[in-house]
Amino acid sequence: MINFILLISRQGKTRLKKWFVPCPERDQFRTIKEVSSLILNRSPKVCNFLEWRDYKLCYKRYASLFFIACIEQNDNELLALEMVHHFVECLDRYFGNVCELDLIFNFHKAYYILDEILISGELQESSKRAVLHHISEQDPLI
Amino acid sequence: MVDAFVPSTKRGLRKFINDVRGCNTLQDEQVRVRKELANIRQKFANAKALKAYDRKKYAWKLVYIYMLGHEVEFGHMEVINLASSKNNSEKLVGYVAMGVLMGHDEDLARLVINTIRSDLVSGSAFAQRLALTFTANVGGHELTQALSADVLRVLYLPESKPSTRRKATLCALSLWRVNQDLIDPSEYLSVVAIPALEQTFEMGLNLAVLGTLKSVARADPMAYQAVYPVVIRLLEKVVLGESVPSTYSYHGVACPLVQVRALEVLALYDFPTDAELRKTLVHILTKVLSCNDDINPQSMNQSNANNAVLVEAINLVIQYGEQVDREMMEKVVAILVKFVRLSDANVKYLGLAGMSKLAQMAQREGLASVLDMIRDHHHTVRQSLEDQDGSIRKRALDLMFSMCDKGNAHEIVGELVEYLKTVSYNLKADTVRKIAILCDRFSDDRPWYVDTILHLIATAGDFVPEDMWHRLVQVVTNNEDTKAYAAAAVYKMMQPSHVHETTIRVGSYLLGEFGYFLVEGNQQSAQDLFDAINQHLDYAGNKTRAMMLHAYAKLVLLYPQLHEDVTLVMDAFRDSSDPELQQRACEYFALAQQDRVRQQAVFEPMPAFPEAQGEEAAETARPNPTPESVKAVDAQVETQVEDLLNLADKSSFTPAPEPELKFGKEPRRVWLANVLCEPKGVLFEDHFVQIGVQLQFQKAAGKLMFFVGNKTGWVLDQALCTVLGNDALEVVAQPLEPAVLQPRAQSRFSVAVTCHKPFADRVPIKVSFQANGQFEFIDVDLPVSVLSFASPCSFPDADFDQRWDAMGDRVQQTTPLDHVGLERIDAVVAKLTALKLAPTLSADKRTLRGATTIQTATVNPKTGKPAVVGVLVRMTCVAGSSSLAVRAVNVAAAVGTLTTVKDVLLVL
Repeated sequence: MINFILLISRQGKTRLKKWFVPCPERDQFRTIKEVSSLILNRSPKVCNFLEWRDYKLCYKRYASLFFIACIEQNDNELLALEMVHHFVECLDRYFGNVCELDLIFNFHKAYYILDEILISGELQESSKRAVLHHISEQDPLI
Repeated sequence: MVDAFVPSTKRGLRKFINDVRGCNTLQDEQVRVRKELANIRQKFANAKALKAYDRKKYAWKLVYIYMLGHEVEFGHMEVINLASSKNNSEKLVGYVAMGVLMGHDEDLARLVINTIRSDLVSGSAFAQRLALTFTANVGGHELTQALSADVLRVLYLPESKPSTRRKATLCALSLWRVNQDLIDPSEYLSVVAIPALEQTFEMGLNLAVLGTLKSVARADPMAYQAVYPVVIRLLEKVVLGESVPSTYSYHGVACPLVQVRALEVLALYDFPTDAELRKTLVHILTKVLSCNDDINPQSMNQSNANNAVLVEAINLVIQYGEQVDREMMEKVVAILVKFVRLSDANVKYLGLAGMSKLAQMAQREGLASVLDMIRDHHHTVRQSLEDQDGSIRKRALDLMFSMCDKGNAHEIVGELVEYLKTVSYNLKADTVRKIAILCDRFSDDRPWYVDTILHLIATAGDFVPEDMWHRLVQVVTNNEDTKAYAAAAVYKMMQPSHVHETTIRVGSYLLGEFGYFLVEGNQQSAQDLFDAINQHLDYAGNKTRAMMLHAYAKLVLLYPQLHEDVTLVMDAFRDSSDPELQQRACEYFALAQQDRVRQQAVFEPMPAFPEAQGEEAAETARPNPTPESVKAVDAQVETQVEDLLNLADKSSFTPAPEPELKFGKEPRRVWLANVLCEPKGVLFEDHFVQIGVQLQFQKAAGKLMFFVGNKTGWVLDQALCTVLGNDALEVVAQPLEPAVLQPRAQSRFSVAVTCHKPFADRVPIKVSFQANGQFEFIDVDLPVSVLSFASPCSFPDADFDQRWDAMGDRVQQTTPLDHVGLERIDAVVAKLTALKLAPTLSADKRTLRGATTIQTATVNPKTGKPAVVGVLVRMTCVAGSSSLAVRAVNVAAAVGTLTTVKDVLLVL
């Protein structure tokens, strides 16, 4: 399962965070600090996986944003990257060529879209069309 | 323009975000945020007057402020009110905002329970989905307790839509993580899992179900066994038939996410025994493993999706090991080799990780051919150790470790030692550990082992944990042929004017113990040994200095010519500010004034370490334990030590085995009788507390660990334990900690005992605590008898009788035992064996003879050794009764033995 998912800008600002396991507020901020400094300092040529405590961090950079997923030891790393990519593609389709500003001004929509893709740290829908169908249905409401 | 596609964000919110972005410093931002918070607080003060639009706007503003990392202390109620609204738009905003704002706060979650419940039963799919998403993401005990039934109802409801059901199954999974009894396997399988997995048009539901199964079936694979063939058929359809809706194909790969999840579920089970299933599975795996050959990846994502499935299939094949045919195994090796050689960092990483798993499996199952295939790529792996990427270096190091066996141990250890010179800081400790484990595992060549470990200490001393050099000392001490070599090697290492602290410690220890080999072999003089150690005295830490003093004390006993030098050093430390050093210096100084016999008794060479301990050390150094297994081992150890009273089991206390009341004896005597001949057990239990004890005796000393567990639902405070020894049995007790006993928690205290002379009376322990304002007192006996310090001895019956007769004029104690007769003689033998009396049964099975010696800590002035007291026991049995006689030179020993045997046999 995914323990938490983070969107961090290149400057280290948090654009989105979601924990799927109980974790006190203070620890979340400490983790974000630790994880983002680890990842922002990695060179672009190295692999997208990183062992961190008892977990694995799988991350990918899209333009100015790092998407980070923390998974468990025996989870499939590439699959985590694919889940992240699926989320990015959904954001992209929804916003039409998504950029960091979209996520800043529409942070609430990003959370809403994430809720349609991942719950309890597991992927619930892998068809972009199905996800977007649900979102667009409720878009006027938000 | 964003707005062309997306309905614009509320204007006030947009302006606020813009303002915050415009702040140049953190202070500016704080000022702006505070202003906004004051504004919102004021508006919310009269929330009823607010328009729906504004309520939503302010909710989003609070979420934004919270995301920036500022504290949001109010407004939760307004957000919850939004969620409870009848209006869909308000409900949506309320739920999403709550999901972010409330985190996993159980107190806040309690406030939402009613809203969620009414949404779950509402019949509106929209409200149900929002409620399920929220419940799944927040989870926790409160929601689990309150909402399990409602969530399961939605899950099992026949009319639930697939999009609702997939949320419901993941929501149930989230609650299951809190309470594992929540999902009933057969109901889940028949109503949800099997129908879902038998179809292929709602792949989202399949994905959610497989994700749930992966966790729940791991906890209890047998209960979910029925799903196994269904998963194989699903995989067959997806991989071979490709009857998957096109929206689920991902860059040309048919639903890779479902494929991976399905393979992960299959990995929970062994290779199928059913021939048909086996054939299908092999077919699927062959297809997956070969799809890498014929697809030429168009894009990064396609190859990612492909490789994700491939890696999972490889894991499965590795798990099956020898059960799959050779051809498939070769294919796996070929793919991994290809991965490792690729320039793509991700694939290389996975290739190395996979190869590590493969090597471990091959070592375990003894597949030499697979190991050989891996070893052919030794050079590539060696190169990956120098990769620019830390993650890849780590994997390469793991692989080097896994592929090491007897044949290439020297080569690999040599390379790793060489690698140590250039290794990055964060891998250094790991590298050192791995080298040490490999050396230990393949340590047939002892000089090589000694050299390598000493080299590690010299070059990477900071990264060498204590137990590593303790192990070295153990190996050297236990192997006669290594001692001289180790002494010479360590002497050489001590030569530089500045060496690592750990080097000084090993050096002091080994030269103190085995330095005489060098002097006897005329390699060095005693003075050389002393100087080699002493030149480091100035900068060594106090703990190291203490070891050095000990080495000097040992050396000076063998070589009196060092007396002057050593006395000088000891004298200097007699007023050291470090209490340990001061004590040692004083004691060694005083010992030096004593006669030689006594000194020799104190400084006898260390005996060989019990091999079991060595094995254990090697055990802890198992190859690359996965965190889970380590945790499992830890947990096991934890339960053994911490959980003597089964307190971790929250459900209930396991009561002490209810002692059968015999002869009107009170239960505590029965408990005592059990503990007297067992290494651990329950000593006392009432409705307040349970007291358990663990005992360990060696010669004349013993250590007892007491566990006092609070059985009640309230706090017991001011808990106190007192034990007072006497001149025969010295008792040193540590205070009970913690002194406040939390409900269903336990405190402990330890007691060290030393036997100075035989004794007959038991030492009482007094336990007191305050319950509901009233003091309770408990008196029990310390479960230590004179036989606790016994060590059995045995001799032939004739010999026994001779000794028995010789002791005839000394002390004899006898007692009849009415309830133990001939018919229970076997049980009596077992009990007497547990008491270390070494019983032997005569040929007619009517007489039992036992002999033992009581070890004391008092030194016999004639022999210079601790005094021992012999005790002989003879039991004559007839049908229905028996009589017990004890003879010993010491009356206390005889009485003590007699009462102990009597007490223990009482429970028969």
